Amino acid sequence: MVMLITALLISGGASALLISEWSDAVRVVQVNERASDVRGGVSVALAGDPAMVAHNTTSKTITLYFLNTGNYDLDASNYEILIDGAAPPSSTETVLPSGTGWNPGDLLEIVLTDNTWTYADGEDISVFFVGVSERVNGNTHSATTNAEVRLNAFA
Amino acid sequence: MGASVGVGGLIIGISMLVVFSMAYQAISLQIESGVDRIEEADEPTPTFTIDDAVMFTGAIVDVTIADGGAGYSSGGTIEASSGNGGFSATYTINGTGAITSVVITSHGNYSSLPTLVVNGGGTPTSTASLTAVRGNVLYANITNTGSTTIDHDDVWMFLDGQNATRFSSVYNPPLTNLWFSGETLFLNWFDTGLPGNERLTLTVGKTTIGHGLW
Repeated sequence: MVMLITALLISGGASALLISEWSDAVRVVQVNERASDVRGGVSVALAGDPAMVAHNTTSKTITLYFLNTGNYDLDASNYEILIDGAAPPSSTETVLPSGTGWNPGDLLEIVLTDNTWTYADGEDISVFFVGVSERVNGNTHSATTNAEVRLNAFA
Repeated sequence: MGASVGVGGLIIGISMLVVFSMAYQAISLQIESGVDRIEEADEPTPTFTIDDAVMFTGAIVDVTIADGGAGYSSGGTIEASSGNGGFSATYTINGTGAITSVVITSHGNYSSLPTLVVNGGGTPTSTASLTAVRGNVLYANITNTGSTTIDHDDVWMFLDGQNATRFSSVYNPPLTNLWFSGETLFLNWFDTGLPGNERLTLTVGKTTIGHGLW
């Protein structure tokens, strides 16, 4: 009888420990799985005419549009953009049409300024953009896009 | 002997319960992630075409009523007295026969501002003074060639790559705000100064299509 009770206690304790550990492992996997799902729902794309990107040769500005193609809000003020591999020294951004949060389906209009630019009309440039999502389930995720576009230069 | 068998049976039973519990949680996790992936894969990419697009830069986009006149009858039209630009409009009158509002039915295209006259409006006792306002009109036919229904709010338009404009802000849908698969929409976008006259570009999600304005 003593042996039976002892065996029951030991096996019961071991079972509880195993189930608890396994549950913890599954919970961790689920958290990562959800984070991964959110990551898949964070995306951005270049919008507008890639064959006619506005370049004002007087003010030395290039205007680009990026569309939030994901399911989660993106941070409109936290991004990096490279033109031909170099970060312009100055940029201003506006969310369209609301002007507040960069929600899914909204555009971010970015006006880049670099006084050293000497691009001519019809010249092709390389654009790389990386943005960050707002915090979702405690995590932030990045979204990137890159494209080759043609400038429409005007004074 | 009996006790040993009982203990063994209990240990095996509990072990099976543990294995069952682990398997249940693992299968639940697999099903959850699998369903998520199926739902993600189920979203088709929107596809569409710009069948044609043309812009007239000398169109009449508005009519200013400086003086509505008097004695007009309904049923007449407002036309341009000179040129063959093709402008036409209808009007409404008040109780004294004065023209109170104008609805443009054809914007036309003119190299200079035409004089407007009322045709078929009866015998006015006082002639109305109407002034044409020139601007740009963009006509385009666009077709949803994909399998997904597109909300008009999801369509962004660009002229010469600038001035992003939501399609829903310039298109008046006859019924709903949805662009169904296979549906062709006729866009009649007019303004006193549209910001470009070379290319029309539409962006929906990750799909961007451009078309020259001829």
